[in-house]
Amino acid sequence: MRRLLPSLLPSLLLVLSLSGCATSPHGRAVYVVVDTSGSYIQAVPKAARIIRYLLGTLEPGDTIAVARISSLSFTNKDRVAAVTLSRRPAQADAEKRAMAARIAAFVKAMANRRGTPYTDISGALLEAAHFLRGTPAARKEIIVVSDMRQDLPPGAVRHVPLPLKRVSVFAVNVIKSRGENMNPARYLARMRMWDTRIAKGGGRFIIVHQLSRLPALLRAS
Amino acid sequence: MSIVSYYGDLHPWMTSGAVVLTLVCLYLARGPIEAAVTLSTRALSRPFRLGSHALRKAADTLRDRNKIVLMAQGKEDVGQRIEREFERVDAVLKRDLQGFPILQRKLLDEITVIEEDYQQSRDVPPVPPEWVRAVTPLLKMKPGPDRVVEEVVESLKTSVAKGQERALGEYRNAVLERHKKLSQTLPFWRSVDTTLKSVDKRLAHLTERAGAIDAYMDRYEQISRETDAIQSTLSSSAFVQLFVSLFVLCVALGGTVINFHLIALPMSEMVGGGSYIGSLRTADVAALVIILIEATMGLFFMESLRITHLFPRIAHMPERMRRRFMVAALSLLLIMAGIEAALALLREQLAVDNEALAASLTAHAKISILSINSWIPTAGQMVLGFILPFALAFVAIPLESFIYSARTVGGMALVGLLRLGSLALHVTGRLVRYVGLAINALYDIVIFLPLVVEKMWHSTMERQRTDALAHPESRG
Repeated sequence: MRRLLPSLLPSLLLVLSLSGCATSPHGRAVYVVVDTSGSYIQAVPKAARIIRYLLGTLEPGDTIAVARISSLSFTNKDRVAAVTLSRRPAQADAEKRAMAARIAAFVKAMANRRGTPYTDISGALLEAAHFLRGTPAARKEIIVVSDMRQDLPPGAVRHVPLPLKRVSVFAVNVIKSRGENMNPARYLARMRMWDTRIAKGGGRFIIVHQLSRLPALLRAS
Repeated sequence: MSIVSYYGDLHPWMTSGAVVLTLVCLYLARGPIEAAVTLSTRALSRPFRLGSHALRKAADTLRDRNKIVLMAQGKEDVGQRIEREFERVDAVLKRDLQGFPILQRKLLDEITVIEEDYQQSRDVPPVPPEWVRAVTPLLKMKPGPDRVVEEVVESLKTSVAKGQERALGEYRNAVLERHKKLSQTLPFWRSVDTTLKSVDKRLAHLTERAGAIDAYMDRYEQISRETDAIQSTLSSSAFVQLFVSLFVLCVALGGTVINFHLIALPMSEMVGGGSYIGSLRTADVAALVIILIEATMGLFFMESLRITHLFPRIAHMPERMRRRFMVAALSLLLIMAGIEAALALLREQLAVDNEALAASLTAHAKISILSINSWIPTAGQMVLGFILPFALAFVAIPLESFIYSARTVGGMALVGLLRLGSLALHVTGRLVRYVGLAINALYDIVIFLPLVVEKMWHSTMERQRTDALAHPESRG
């Protein structure tokens, strides 16, 4: 027994110490941006459902943040909620519940509001990119719940490159306008523009045409 | 490119000349070329032959080692069986024959009682009284005229008859008494019979054990003589043991997987769910480590019980130390089992919490109330968590069988592989030699014409020499 304990204790201590100090290169960080412009604010409840689904897929130690797209979104004031889940599953579940409650409150608040006059998607993506750069997660995803139609206020400059290296950007629930319905080339050109901008920043742009395919696309990313 | 096509552009005469020249050159170079081919192929085949020889020797050495190991294992196994038989005999002797002197004393006492009763019950014919012989002449007297004599005789007859009647009555009483004595002896006879049967039964058990020991001793002698028959028996036994232990280990592996899934989730609550060691989740690694520690404790427990013999150091421990070691291993195993049971409970709680969370996060959260009792799976998981470590402890037994039989079977397989390799190298070496011979033969086919001419010249020269020897005068 005197010989046994010294041989077993180091392995146990090693496992416990490694579990305590190991970094998390396998973690996941998700940043959800929800369009609250006048043309899209009615889709906020749908965005809330997507966020709730995402909460269900997160593991302990993952990070999630939710922000809204307003007229000028390159600010953390538009961030509705953000949390890095605890590594303990029970605590993480409690944090998910709290997050879900905050999202519900956000949806309730948006229900009686008019949408913003402009839509600063680039600013929101920049803000999301900066947020994700600060997390040590291996998988970084931005979920954009928007029609991807940018409308900047006068004076706003958004020609800066998007630092989206190894970030997957999912465009969910992209609504086509009547004009785009008449001329699909406009829609395709708009999507191509975003694809080019995100690819230049080192990211990957994925359009989710069917919401039911979102889980599979997230897994594939 | 063939010779004909090589010389195809030349004049036919020139072509023929070139062919003849080539043939002559080839003929002249025949000796060195064929020698070079032979030497080259020999040089090439030699390493193959050497390799084949080395592999065969290695196979023979390994086979001898395997035999030694097999015999040693067989000896150890039979030795243990004999030891166990002797222990059984010792137990029988202690249990059954410890009271043998008391039993013998009881038997002797009973036999003494029976003997005394038998002596007392002997049939002794009654001795006629002395006066009967004295009065017998008087009774034989013929009746005379004297009436007195006749009356005396009559009176004597009556007395004699009375005496005989009394003597007969006494004799009858004596016989009755003897019969009584004999009937009193019957329980003693029965007791003796039962005691002897009991002794017989115990001795029969001992005889049976002695027969088993004889059989094992025969086997031990065969192993000592290292006969082919016992080697074959031990080898096939090793094969059977390997497959059986492999099957049991597979079953144990299934149990380990279930055990792992039982504690992996709750372990994330203890060591963190989002941390990784390399590409593995820390919780999974921790769960695996716990299971491995349980298996190790089980192994040590079995070792200290002397059921398995994988660690000679444990087997050679002093008795007191070994007992302490056993208690320590069992205690750790119990603690581990308790931890597992607690983890199983935690797992159930986490699962319920996860389900509730998933239900609350879905859009249409309608939680259906289950009709089954929720404590049944909880209790089941807890019991499973407590039992599995102990079940895992028994893996030590098939593991030991697997290790020993794998040594034997693996050794035999390796011998087979070495022999196969030796054969392959031998065949390759031979092929190389034959390829050289074939090249030389093909070379001879190409220059067959000069060879035929040479042969004819040789035969002509031989004939002339023979003729010269036969007719020496013609030379002069």
